[in-house]
Amino acid sequence: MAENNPFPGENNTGHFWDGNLRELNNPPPRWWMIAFWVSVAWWVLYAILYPMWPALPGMSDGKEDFTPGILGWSSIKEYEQGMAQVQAVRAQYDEQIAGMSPDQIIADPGLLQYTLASSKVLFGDYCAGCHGSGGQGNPGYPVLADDDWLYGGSLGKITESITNGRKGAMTAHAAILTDDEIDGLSQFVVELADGGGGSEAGWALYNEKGCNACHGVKGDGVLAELPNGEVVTVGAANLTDSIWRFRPGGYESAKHTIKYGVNQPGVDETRDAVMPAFSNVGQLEGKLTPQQIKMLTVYVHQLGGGQ
Amino acid sequence: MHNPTMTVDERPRMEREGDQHPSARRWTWKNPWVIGWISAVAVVLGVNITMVVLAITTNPGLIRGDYYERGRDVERTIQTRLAEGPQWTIQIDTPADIRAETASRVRFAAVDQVGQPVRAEQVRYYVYRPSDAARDFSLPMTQVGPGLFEAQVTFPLGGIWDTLVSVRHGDEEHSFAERISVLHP
Repeated sequence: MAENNPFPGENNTGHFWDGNLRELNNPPPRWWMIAFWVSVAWWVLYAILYPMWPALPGMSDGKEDFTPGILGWSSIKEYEQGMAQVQAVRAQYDEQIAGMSPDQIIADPGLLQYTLASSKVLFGDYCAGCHGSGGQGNPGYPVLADDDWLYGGSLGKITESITNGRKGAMTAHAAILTDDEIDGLSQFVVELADGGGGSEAGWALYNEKGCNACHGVKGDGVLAELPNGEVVTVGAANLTDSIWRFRPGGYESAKHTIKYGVNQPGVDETRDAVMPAFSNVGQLEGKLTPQQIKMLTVYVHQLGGGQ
Repeated sequence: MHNPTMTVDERPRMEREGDQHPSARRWTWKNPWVIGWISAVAVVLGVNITMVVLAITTNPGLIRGDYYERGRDVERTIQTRLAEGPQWTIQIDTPADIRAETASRVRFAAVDQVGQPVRAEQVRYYVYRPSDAARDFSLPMTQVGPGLFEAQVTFPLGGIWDTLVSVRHGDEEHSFAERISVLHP
């Protein structure tokens, strides 16, 4: 072929078309070759430095089933280091919180911020089931995002509620009172809730039947006020505001509560009002540590506007 | 054979067709105007056919056959539902920061007209994607307390979803709807 080559000396491959169109055997441009070999070198270097190949059967030491690379880097390790950094920052706060009382935490804006942010998950896991994702309550379950508290809204009382749980109690009056008396008291309770102040006859019946023993002489659920501002209650509802413990509230609802009571054993229609104890002290696994209860106390207290 | 003084049109017909026709046909198809026009028509028809095929194959199935009758009856349906509905107090608790591709807990609580927890045999959470019936799904809600039900839900996409909690109690079934907006992942 070479002897018949009509274009000698130009390094063509001997392939011609249409007489003078021919394929030349030129090397690729230098920049292209450099880039090519650099990429090959990069690949080899990467394989040496970083994890790249899956391990052959029997090669893995039980931990890693790939070639680790001489740098020993892996994305999981990087993630774990990142988490450790976060933990280190948290540990600093957690250590501070461990030595403080809830009101000291509230007084420190930085710690308060940290406590509220980190308790949100705890609240979602342990409290939101009954009290709603934002503390807005559920039909049958008390609202936390207001300043109406059955057992007192002070930090101490909230800690007590979370630690030991609460169990409401009210006698079933169906067999104790007459239908007329139940009817009268139901109407009286609705009057109070509507802000009417209640009729004289209603108050007389209320006191005569001993409702004041739990709901207080003013009907606000407060039995006594202590000099430090704390109130003594037995968890009986405040009847003088428009918040109903058992929604939807109103005459029928009040009548039902009076007739069948709260948590009365043996009464089918009785109200169910139980909050479990959340302390892990003397309890099964999966409950809250004292530190977590402290943080939740602050969170719940702030939900109620800090009152 | 040819008469040099005759023009093309004056020649005998057979002779004229015999030598003119092949070259005339070639010329027609080489004309850019003809090719352009034919291509334009082909493009228009092609787009039409594609749109029709797409409309049929990706139909989300959201149009009902009896849409007119249903629309006419909507007021009566609402009135009937109100009259027949249970006098319950309910709450569907969807977390405010619910996000697509992340598992979230949705809760449903219901009490009857005197405030007693509702006893239900089966509670199911239905989720409808308004723009795509193929994305609809449903899952059961489990009872976690008196009158309190919960489901772990992972929405595949952000945006608007129509949700429906369906409560079955004996022969009766009651539904409670809520339209929610899910954050993008």
